[in-house]
Amino acid sequence: MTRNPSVAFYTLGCKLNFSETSAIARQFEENGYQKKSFEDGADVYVINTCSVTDNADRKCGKLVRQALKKREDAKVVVIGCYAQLRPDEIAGMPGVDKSSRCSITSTICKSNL
Amino acid sequence: MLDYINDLQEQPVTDKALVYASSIDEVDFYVDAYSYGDRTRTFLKVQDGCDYGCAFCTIPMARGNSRSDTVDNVVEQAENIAASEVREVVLTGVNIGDFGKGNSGGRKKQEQFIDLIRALDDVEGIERYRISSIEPNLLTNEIIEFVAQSKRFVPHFHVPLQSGSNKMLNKMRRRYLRELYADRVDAIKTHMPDCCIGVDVIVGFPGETEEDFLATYNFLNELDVSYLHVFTYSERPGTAAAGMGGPVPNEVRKERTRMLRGLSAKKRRYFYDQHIGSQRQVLMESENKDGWLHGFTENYVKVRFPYDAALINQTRQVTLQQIADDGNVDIVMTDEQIPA
Repeated sequence: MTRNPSVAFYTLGCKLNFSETSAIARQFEENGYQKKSFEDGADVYVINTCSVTDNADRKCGKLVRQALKKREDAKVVVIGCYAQLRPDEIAGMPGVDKSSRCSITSTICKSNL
Repeated sequence: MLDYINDLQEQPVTDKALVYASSIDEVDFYVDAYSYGDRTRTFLKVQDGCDYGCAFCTIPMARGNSRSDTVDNVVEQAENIAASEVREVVLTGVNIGDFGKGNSGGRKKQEQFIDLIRALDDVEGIERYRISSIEPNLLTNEIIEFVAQSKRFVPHFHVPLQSGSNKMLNKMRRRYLRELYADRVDAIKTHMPDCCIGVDVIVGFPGETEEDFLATYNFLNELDVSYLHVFTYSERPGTAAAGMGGPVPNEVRKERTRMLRGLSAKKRRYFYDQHIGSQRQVLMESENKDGWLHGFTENYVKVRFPYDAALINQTRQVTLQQIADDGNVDIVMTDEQIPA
């Protein structure tokens, strides 16, 4: 029997990011995904990033590493401003660089929701 | 996004993270959104991207040019929100005063921000709207006067200043001088003496001398504003400011941040103090924080009340009693419930 896939979200930064994460989450739920908290270990992690300060950049790296550790088969998708601006920087972060489970995608994907 | 996730599941396992990069120049569309999960309040996106070229800011490179939803579509979303139990809508965007350039952006405005707020004010079932943040040069008298007589737009503005020194405002490539800012604050307070005004300010921008910083400090100290959001400047690759000389040492940036945060606490206390004894409407939120329930008045005074689940997401007529030791305001509640 197949179970419903699960998804967890984390939003960094502004109110706009919060509204967009919600819109993305709604799409996942409408397509049968079960929404879980970040702590609970989901099949898919979506991290919506911010790049307004270097502090926001650093938090992103920490979250991606945490998400990769929650479940050894989880896929982690990094979207948002930092992913748009410096995708290779995220891909090269320690703990992220060796994992094909992590993908960093720019605005096109986020905008198409 | 879901197709993309499905594609990912089929990716062969390799030994490096995958990057799907696309140029921000290709983004010529608009996607609507609003937040959910909070019973009390939602962030409703009305605009995205920015056509300004502020020297410190990386967001136009991340989000593209200024695009907007249409008035009709925002109203439709507000009607959906009105059908839920959410009582407060916060209008959200990157530069919402620049609303109206259409889904793909452009130089010509098809609609104006004032058209949007007029239309939203007529949506039944939304109790409150907040305009999250609006550039001072786009905050027209027309908008201020509309909010002053509006049924639903609350007396609260958040207006970025960034610096109180004209020299720094020029270097930052902001589109106004401090005199314009002071004039906007005056206009707001003339029409709405009770209005809460929040200010964004950056400290430690390249070339900011002690004198420039003190100009900001003194300007804000004199200005009738209610609180500050203080940002410690941080270099962003690819911005004009990143190439400017005269970086401010990190310790100095931190000290200036500390000073302005102190000023903010003082400003907020003064603002709260002015309203002690007055009657206000408070929208209570849901979180139980150490036995307290919190809420905000229309003009953004944060109040506390002993936790009572029956009060969650209720709007009540209250009297502001005193500033408590945690900085929030204690209230006396009447039984009168304000219907949504």
